[in-house]
Amino acid sequence: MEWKFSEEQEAYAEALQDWLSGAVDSEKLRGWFDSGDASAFAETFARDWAGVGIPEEDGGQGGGLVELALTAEHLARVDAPSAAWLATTLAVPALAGRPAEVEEAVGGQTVALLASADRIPSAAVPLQGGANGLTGSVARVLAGDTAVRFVVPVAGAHGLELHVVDAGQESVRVTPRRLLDRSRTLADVTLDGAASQRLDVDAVSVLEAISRRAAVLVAADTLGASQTMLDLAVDYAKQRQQFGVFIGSFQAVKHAAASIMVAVEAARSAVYYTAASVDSDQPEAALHAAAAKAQITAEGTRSADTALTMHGAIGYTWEHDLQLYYKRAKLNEGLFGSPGAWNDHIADVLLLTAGDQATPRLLGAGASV
Amino acid sequence: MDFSERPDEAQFRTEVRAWLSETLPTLQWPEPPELEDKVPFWRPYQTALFEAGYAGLTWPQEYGGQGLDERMSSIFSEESAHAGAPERLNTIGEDFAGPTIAHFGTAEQKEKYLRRILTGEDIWCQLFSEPESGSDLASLRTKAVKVDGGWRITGQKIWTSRAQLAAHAILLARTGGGERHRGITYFLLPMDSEGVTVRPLEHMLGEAEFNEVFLDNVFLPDSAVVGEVDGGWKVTMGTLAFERVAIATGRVNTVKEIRNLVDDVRSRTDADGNPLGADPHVRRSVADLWGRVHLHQAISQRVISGASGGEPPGEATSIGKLFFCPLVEDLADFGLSLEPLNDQFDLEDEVAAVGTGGLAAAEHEAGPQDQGHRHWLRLANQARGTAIAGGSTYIQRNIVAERILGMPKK
Ligand SMILES: Cc1cc2nc3c(=O)[nH]c(=O)nc-3n(C[C@H](O)[C@H](O)[C@H](O)COP(=O)(O)OP(=O)(O)OC[C@H]3O[C@@H](n4cnc5c(N)ncnc54)[C@H](O)[C@@H]3O)c2cc1C
Repeated sequence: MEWKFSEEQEAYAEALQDWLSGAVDSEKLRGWFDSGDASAFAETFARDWAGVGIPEEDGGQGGGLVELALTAEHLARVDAPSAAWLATTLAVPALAGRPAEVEEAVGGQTVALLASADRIPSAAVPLQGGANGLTGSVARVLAGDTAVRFVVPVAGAHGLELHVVDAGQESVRVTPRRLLDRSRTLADVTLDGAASQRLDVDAVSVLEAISRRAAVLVAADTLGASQTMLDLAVDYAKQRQQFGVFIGSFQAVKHAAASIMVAVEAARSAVYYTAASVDSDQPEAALHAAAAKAQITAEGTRSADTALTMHGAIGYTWEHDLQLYYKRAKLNEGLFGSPGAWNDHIADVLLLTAGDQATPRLLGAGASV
Repeated sequence: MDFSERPDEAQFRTEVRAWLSETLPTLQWPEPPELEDKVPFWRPYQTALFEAGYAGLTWPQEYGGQGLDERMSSIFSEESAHAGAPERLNTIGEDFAGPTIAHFGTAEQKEKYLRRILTGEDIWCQLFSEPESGSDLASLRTKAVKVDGGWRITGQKIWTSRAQLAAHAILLARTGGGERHRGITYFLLPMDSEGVTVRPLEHMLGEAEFNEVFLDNVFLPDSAVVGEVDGGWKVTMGTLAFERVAIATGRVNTVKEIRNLVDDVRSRTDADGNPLGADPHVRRSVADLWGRVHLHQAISQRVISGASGGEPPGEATSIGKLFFCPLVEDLADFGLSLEPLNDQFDLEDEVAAVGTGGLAAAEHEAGPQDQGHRHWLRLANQARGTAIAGGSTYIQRNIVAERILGMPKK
């Protein structure tokens, strides 16, 4: 295995970082968050960048999960609003073979998987189908507030199906929810006899693929947020004086910073390793994704607390930007499945013997240890 | 980010795998638990490695190495761990003394020492630490006085791993050109020199793996100096960087250890006869350890990829030890937790001796897949030692904070 970015990937990350540093700053963020409307950012971002990581034959600009993880990391580094991008990126594989809809999605028309954001996507509870359309409620749908389309898991007569539902219908009711982390948005969504079209895909394997992507991209988001919290904490420790010296000269403070750095560099190593593993379908790719999500997002919340401690009271205020990243990391821990849920899958694959239970679906039978 | 293997890499892997499966069963298994008994077990294997062209994979060909890159070497390590190859007894020779000599040594030194490390003839040790100089290595006091044609060395070293087996040592002594790190010279010392006394020290489990070494007016010729006189600190930093790479990329193969643990859990039932793998606490621990091993593997691959590109060891290496040591401690402690009383039985206790680390010797023929006598207990202990040696955890954190994050020294 070679752990190295290609020249194109390096150039992409640099260009994206440049663009984001112009498009996002603390004042703009707070403006979007206070108004509850980040659509201005989401639209310009989608126009310039959303095609990256989507295959060219589907109307994207090419690249794979490594590029998507770079995007997630850099969005989080500046706390950019990213629910629309993340939801769309996750849902797009379900639209295989529907180039017009992919093109719209890439162009900024948000598509969201109709599944609770607190669960692993493959554990989504399907809606009941019927002659009179789709009916049912799903709480806490990522980007449910801005989605123009939903990809909906449906319990069909012959097993799980995926449908696409137009969000503009009368029969679709969307109730936005408010999160502490304002860089992401959710809504409770109720369908009451909504018209749908069945997607011509293998629903189970698409949801598994979405789950693996979600794991990697949320882990990458925590990587970005943690990197910024480390930068903020170290910068602060180099300028804040107490007892007549910079607090960064105290060893307790140094060791706190070092512990965040270990978490950040371990996360960086694993996010990109795992992205490549998933993209190239390594035999243990699903386990890698589960491990990355569980480990990195859990450690990210510890880094957030350490960074807060390093700041003292200023870090505890609304005014200081640390709180933005702190909340981002806390949300990521539970987003698309808690560490406990992902670890459960790992334990199932590793420890259940053939006779104990059906092979866990998410991770597939191919995983060897 | 690329999982594909070049054709030459894939072919190398196949060849290595075949060679290991042919060669390992010819050793006199089981691998003895005690250090001194391990030597006669290990040496024929090292010789076989050399003869087959698998020793010193990344070393220059002119000194018996193979001139291959780190990726090939990592393929070899993976396959060795997978097949259950014996413990590498000469890590100081292969991982730090050898590379230091190859990098900083004279042509004569390279000619004289490198090949014999690879053939298994010479084990090396590291005479750095002293009773009053541990973390603060630059304060060392062992003295070298200039005499005709060389130096006379007097002082005491301590915690010297494997000195009782070593033919040669890398040695730091004060030559007095300047204060602290400005007055230290790096020497190569034959351990059979007159005036060298080795006294074994037992570690916590009661086995003598390290030593005190007394140097009483020991003569070394000028040709024993590596680098410049008084310029030994630069060479030392090189050695410590090689050491960190070695530790970060896995002195212990964590992938193999977690596989052992998983196999162990799967084969067991609890007191009521239920599969141990159904116990929620066990499930959580195994999954968490598996996840941490995954992260460690990613870190190792990043370090190896960086090293192949000829880049100096960077962030990933410095954090490698801080990530790796607690992981190995926790892997081993979890293994112990499966035993009655966390296997806190004396090494000589005969019942416990059968219980840990795989099947009892009587149940099957000993072979490379055996974990070895009291495996988890020894690993748990060894991991604590590793956390102290080569720059303790706190010192590593200081390095990360000051050198990488640029936090103020004072
Ligand atoms: C198993 C084992 C094998 C070893 N093998 C060798 C060998 O082969 N050759 C060799 O030369 N040496 C060897 N060593 C020695 C090793 O390098 C030293 O033990 C190590 O550098 C620490 O030194 P010390 O033991 O004197 O502890 P000290 O330096 O006295 O440290 C004691 C405690 O104080 C802390 N401390 C010290 N300074 C600082 C600081 N500035 N900031 C924060 N905390 C600090 C340390 O982290 C530690 O927790 C070995 C040690 C072990 C345990």
